[in-house]
Amino acid sequence: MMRGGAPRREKNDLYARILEVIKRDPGRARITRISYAVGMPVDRLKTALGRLADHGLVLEAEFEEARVYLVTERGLRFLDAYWLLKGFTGELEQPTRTGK
Amino acid sequence: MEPRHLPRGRTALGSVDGDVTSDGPATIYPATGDRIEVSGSLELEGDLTVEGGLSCDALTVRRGDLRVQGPLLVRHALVVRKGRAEIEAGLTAERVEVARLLRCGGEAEAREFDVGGEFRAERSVKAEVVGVGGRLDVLGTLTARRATAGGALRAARVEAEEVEAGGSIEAGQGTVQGKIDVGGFFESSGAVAFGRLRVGGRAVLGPGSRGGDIAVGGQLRSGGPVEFGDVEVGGLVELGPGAKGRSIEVGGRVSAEGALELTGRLESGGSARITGDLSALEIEVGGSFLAGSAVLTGEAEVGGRIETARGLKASRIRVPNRGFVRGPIVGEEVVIGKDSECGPVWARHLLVRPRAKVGAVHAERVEVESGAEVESAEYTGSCRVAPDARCRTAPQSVASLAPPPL
Repeated sequence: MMRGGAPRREKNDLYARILEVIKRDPGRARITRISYAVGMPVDRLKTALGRLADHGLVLEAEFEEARVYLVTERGLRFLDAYWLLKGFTGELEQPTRTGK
Repeated sequence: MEPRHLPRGRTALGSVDGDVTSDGPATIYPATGDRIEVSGSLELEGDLTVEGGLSCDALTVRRGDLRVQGPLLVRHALVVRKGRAEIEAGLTAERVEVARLLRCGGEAEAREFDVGGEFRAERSVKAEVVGVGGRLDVLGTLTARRATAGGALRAARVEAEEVEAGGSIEAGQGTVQGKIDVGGFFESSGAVAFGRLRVGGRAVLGPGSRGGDIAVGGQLRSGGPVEFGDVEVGGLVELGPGAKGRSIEVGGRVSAEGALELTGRLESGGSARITGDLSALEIEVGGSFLAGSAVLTGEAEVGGRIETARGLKASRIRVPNRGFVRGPIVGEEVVIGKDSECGPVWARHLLVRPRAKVGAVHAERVEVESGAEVESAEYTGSCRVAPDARCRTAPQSVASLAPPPL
């Protein structure tokens, strides 16, 4: 159960990192730039971006003769939910006042 | 004028009138003194190493890395299209664009920094706009109108109008006049002044921090006195002593070590625990409420236990059915719910619902309903006790009530 759960969380962390990078560079997020920002090779990044696009979290666009990525409304909702859950997860990991 | 073409290997350059180019990796060093002066631009296809300082009109490295062992002054744009730029001393340019990594050992100043990967500044950075795809790390002061990082942003001190990061922001201290916007985590070790703070995950405010509205998805913590506007938090709020603000709305629980001063509401879906004195307009707490004392100008509505050392004062207090109150309560209108247990009460109008047990009662008008039990009752107006309710000592009509503790 645990072995099945952990990799999924890591993937979500990675997806969130990619989305944050694209979100903060509107119109200029080319694949090489995202790769430098996330610190991930372009071939692996392409797979991840393909998955994000399949789920409607990013979309590809042409901007100044270059292919760039944009975060969709659904992608922004994913980010909100991701960070909110991260905050709650952190809260649950805190010891309570009774030490339990 | 023909540009000066650099051969491979090391070349001594003094003062160059015009442009400089190279097709491959090149190393240049000052022919005299410690600096090379180029009146035009440098355009390079490979790596460039400068063994000393360099000043030029523009500098472009198309492929490869740039390494400058002294100060670098570029009157227009410094562009490193695919690689890294490492400047051992200060960097001054109109515009800096680096694909992978920009490392600067001295002060860095430009109108705009645009770095795809990482920007590491060992001293301060001064710019109008700083945009970094990945990580921005400033060991000194970051001064900018706007600074953004897709990943993490860290600075010993921030002086900016707007700061934004996808992953996290860590700031020692500083002022952000407008918004701080972070997807993940925000932490300031010292005092940070801000216009607005929006954090997706967790925020930690250093002592002395003050600002406007705060919205946090997960948790908000502060270790010392802080000042804020309206706070909205999804998870939990933990405040240090001396917190002051307009209002707090939290989905989970709220706690304050010491006093908490609000001009507006305190609303908590879970519990609220204030070890010192709370002052607020009103409270709405879903779970238990614990405080040294609480003085409210409006209403107190608590779903769980109410425990205070010195009392709870509000214009209207509703103790829920099966509720429990420890410590005195003082209000204009007080309703003690069915099957509740409550200590002493001061009220203008007190209603004790069926089967509730109440301590000493001091009120203008008292109504005790069926099966309820009151330790003693003094009143200045009227006292109605249901036939099967019990008053341990006979209710006493008095000219004036015993003074309330709050």
